[in-house]
Amino acid sequence: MKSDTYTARMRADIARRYARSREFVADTPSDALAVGTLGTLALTGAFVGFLTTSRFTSLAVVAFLLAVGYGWVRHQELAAKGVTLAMTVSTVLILSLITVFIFVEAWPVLADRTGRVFGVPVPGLEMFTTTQWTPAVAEPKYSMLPMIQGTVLVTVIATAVAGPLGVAAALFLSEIAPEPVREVVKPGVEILAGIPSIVYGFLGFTVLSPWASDQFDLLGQGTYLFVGIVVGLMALPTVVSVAEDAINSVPESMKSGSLALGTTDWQTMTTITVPAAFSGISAAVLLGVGRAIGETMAATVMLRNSPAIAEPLYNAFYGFETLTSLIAANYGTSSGFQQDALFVAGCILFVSVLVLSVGSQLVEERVERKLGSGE
Amino acid sequence: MTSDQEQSSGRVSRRNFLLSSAAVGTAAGLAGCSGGSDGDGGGDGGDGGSDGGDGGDSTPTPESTPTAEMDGDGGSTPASGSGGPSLLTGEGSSTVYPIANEGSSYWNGNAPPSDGEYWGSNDEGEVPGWSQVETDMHLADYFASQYGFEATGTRSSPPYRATIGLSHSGTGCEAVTNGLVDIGNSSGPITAELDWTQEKADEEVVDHVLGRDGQPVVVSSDIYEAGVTQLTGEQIRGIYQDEITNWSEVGGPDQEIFCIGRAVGSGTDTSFRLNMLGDAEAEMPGVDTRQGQNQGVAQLVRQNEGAIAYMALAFTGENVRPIAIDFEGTVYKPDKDAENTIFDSDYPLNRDLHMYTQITEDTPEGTDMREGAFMSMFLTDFGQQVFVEGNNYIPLPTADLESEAEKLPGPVPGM
Amino acid sequence: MARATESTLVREDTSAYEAVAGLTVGLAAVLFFLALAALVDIVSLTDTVVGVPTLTLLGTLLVVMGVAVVGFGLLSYREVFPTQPRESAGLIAALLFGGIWFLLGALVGSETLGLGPLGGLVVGLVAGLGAGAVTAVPREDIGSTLPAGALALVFGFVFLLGVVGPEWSWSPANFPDDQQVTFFARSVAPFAVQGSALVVGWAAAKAYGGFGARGRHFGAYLLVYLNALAIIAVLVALVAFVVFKGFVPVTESVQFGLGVGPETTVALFGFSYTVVWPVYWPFLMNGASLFTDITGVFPAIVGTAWLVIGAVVLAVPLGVGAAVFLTEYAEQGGFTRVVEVATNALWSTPSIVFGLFGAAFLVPRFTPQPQKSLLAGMITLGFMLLPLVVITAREAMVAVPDEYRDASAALGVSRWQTIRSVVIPASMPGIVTGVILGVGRIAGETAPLLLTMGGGSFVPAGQRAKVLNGFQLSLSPPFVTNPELTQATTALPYQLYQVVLTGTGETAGVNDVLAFGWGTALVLLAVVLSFYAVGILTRQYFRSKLKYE
Repeated sequence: MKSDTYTARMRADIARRYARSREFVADTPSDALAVGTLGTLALTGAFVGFLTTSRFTSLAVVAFLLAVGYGWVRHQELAAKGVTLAMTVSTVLILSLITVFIFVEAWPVLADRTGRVFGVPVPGLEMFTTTQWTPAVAEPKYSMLPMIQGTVLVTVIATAVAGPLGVAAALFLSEIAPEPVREVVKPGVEILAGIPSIVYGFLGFTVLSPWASDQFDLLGQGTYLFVGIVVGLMALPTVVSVAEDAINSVPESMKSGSLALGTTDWQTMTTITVPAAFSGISAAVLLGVGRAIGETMAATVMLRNSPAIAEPLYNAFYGFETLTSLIAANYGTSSGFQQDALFVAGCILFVSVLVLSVGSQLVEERVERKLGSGE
Repeated sequence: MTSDQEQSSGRVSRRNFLLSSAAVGTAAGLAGCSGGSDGDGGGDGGDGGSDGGDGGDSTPTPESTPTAEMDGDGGSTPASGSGGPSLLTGEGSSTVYPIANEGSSYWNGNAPPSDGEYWGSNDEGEVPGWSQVETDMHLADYFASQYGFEATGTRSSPPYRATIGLSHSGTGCEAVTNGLVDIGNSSGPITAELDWTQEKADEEVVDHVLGRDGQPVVVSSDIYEAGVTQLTGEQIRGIYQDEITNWSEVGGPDQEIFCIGRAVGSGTDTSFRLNMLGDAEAEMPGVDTRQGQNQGVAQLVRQNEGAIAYMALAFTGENVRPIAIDFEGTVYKPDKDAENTIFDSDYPLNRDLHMYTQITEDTPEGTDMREGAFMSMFLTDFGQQVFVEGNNYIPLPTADLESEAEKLPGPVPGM
Repeated sequence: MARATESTLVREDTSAYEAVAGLTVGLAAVLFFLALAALVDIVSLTDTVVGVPTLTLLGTLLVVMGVAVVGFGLLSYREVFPTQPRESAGLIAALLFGGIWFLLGALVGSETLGLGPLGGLVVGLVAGLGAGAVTAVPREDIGSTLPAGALALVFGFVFLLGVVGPEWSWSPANFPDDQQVTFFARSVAPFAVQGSALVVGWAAAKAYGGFGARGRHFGAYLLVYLNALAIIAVLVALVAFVVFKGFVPVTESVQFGLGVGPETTVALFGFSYTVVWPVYWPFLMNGASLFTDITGVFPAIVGTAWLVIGAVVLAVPLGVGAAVFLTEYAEQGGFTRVVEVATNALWSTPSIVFGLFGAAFLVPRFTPQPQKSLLAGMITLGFMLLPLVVITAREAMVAVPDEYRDASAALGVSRWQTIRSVVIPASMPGIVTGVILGVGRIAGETAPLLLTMGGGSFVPAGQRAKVLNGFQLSLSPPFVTNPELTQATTALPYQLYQVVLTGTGETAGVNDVLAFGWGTALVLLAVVLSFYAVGILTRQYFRSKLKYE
């Protein structure tokens, strides 16, 4: 049965790995093994020491450096392999550390605000069912809903700006533009990506917000609409570059075949290129959305920084607070539960961007499979 | 590999490119931020020059010789453990910030007595309160030497530097009790900020008061010019608790009230709630937006119409107009010549401005020598007039000055 | 392809039809820019332009264009001019037009006709469905031009007949009082005109192409070119505005000449040499102090420089090492997939989450009391740079042809030797380019700095981070300390943030805080864009010089 073959395969796998590691141990000279074990232990020790701020961290680091030095001199091959393995592991480690620490720091307030749904305790339920953010009173309330509304509004507007315009620009760069025009526009889009977000925020704060407040006779300054437009402008280069890669990867033969039948360039694009690159283009838009969700400084500078629900729910002409601007504006001055609430906002951000990123990666893998095998 | 050889003759080899760029980069780095072990006087990218630039007005070539600068800086390298006293740090309230920061700017400048503008007197003028002091030492040297520090005799080189950070009263109080900074600035009492009893506060910190703030309520200029120059305490309470939402209800034009508050941890906010609403944790549902510091509040009031806010005296101005408040019959006006003014001590929103220092094992009195020397500057006539009155705050009466002077571990000149 | 279509193979000179269509496109462009000028008050909407009230002028032009466009459709339908329209304008066009007319109908229904939201919805649905039907059902030449022309005509008559005059305004009733929005003619009219101009321009371009595939080609190309042009225009406007505003504060009192600037002493191996800079640039060389006439951003520049150096020192070896392992040593399987996912996740993590991580993990660990420090900022930015280095290095190494590796192995060179002497040097250009671009990105990051490093923002020049001089060795652990690294300091983006948010600086001797802010923004922009420029140029250089066949 299937489970039997599965366990049998697992067992065969384990046996193979065991056999291989025994071979490895038998083959390598003993001093290399010893130094390697020492180095690994020292590195782990240094890491643990750093976590616990122990005084012996530097000793462990010195031990690790000595081990690596010895290994480099005597067995450079193995040392190189081991060191690069450690570096690779560190990449994964950093991500897991970020995940762990953010959730650990967010836990106290989630536990404190547990609600009950049909008798099942749900941690942090209150933070998603109430709508007030008032940390300075006797019974503080921490609600994430105003910030979630803000982030959603800003992201929707930003995607509406960056999505269509970005895909059109990508199409322009890869298919339509003649070479000299391309040489100008492509670096231009990259420079647009390079402008720091605080500069966008500064421009929005000094020029755009007062103008908007005047144009629409608003009370005070700060709108989700214009923050969304600015963030869309910032996410545009992301969409353009990824979509352009996707469109470029469509095989030339497909396009040439279509043209040989007498279609116009535009017809080829709409009927052949874009459908073939569709997965890549949607991956691009997803990444753009992720970028828009994570944008901090432009939002912090241009919004009003006092969490409230904009009414009615689609009122984009008043902008209060997004998840990112909440953290940026409040971190230095909050403590206790309020600070933990900021970490909850960080968790929401992290998880949503992670889902989008993994999703777009999966979509891109479909592109490779589709185009690779479908030629 | 023949194609490789053909290609390699025509272009720059990768190795050469990398080596040369590394060399250029290192050389540039060394040239730009060299320092040998001869202190950071002349090295470090124009340090000597820029400090000299601090001193001189527009003549960039420093008049004071580099060697003197080197010695001076070498002797007082902040926090590098090379022997000098460490950097004096302060942090906290945006209300106290103008006083403390200006004081630290003057301190770090260490002007000579011939300066006339920042210290001392000359033909063109003299600083206020000079007659009480009249010394021929530099500014910081003078006060620090009273507390046992060595004078440097160099402009822009005090015996130790002072730096003041800007956040909130609450943060300042917490930072000083955790030992992160030397001085915690707060415009609200630490008992309200950190929820302590008075006994605990007396055990943990020493409260130095330098001046007072008559906390005004301000409105934007369009409202002021429309005639709303006075409100009652009840009306203000109503506005902040969302019972009054339109200026027409209090005699103004038909305009929505844009109600500005302060963020959590602000001493101004705590004092306002305490004094106006009765409780440091009272709710203020009428607030439309909150700002972290006084400066931001002033900016908002300037930029928007129909705004009302509470802030500190130092930030009022042409487009940020303080109004008179009628508390149970007595009208307190923002005008210094009136019968009852917001500068009086019985103005209900009047509050002390605190600089807290921590009581530690090393300093059972609560104030160490660096902090004492720095604070003694504020308690002189010069300090009160330049820093406190100069920022539109209320200077202390003589009796209070004397009781504050007693808290310091050293003398205050002129007393 | 069962249907046969007849297309003319030879095109004669531009016929009158095409000429007029081209003119209409031009007119649409003029209208677009006129509306743009009205939006930013270069041309006042309530006033007159060339002696005619602006709204009337706009309305007239709209009516003219609407008539022209409808005329194109009718003339083509009547086969007065040769065109090759398709059976239908297509679903996408139907959806777009339907959507536009739905919005228009809903707004008019609920507000002008006073039918309330539900009534407005009904009217909108009717209008939308009607427009969609008109677009999709008849032949393409009617279907594309009639809804577009009708839109222009409606707006044109509304403005011309004064239904919406210069003093018109409207506030949605269901918005609460303290979140009130008012739409004035001066905001709404330009948007309406621009929208109509776009739609009409597209229809006219289709007409120019004679409808059919060629017409769509022209219509689509018009919009795509316009899009690209708009993006570039926005970019140029942004940069030009910052330069314009920041130029004067930055270049104030710059002096050239020998002996004018500050002195630097270079001390190497016991020889010391004093150089007097020939430039005195106050904004870049001063800090903030009472005695400086012009407050400068020197401490912030030094802070940014050290941050970048620290981040590169951390991220580049780690990233290149990880890339080496992934491409050379590891088997493509579970582990590499996990690492790829992790790297991509790190790459898209928001910068503020990195800041939170730095604040939670790094800040409490370097000093006895948790304290913001330069070192924490460096490491956080290094973590942000790491995924980019890994991705770029991997791409560069994968691009090295296998023949190089095989040839090296055939000579008996061991794996590591091959990597060291063949693969890494070959992939260096790609890595260097990636690092430079990544540095450009992190140099402009503010959010992590807010949480891990932000110190005082207006500090005198003498108080900057003097890292090179701060190293101290000791015999007890930790063996190396540097107080400069564990202190909070300032950096360029952080400085700009402080200017914006708190307007501080007035008491630190800064006279005009906003001008100082523009100057800081210009310096920051210049630093970041120069990194990007160098990166792009290096990439182009290497692409042109190094070819792998």
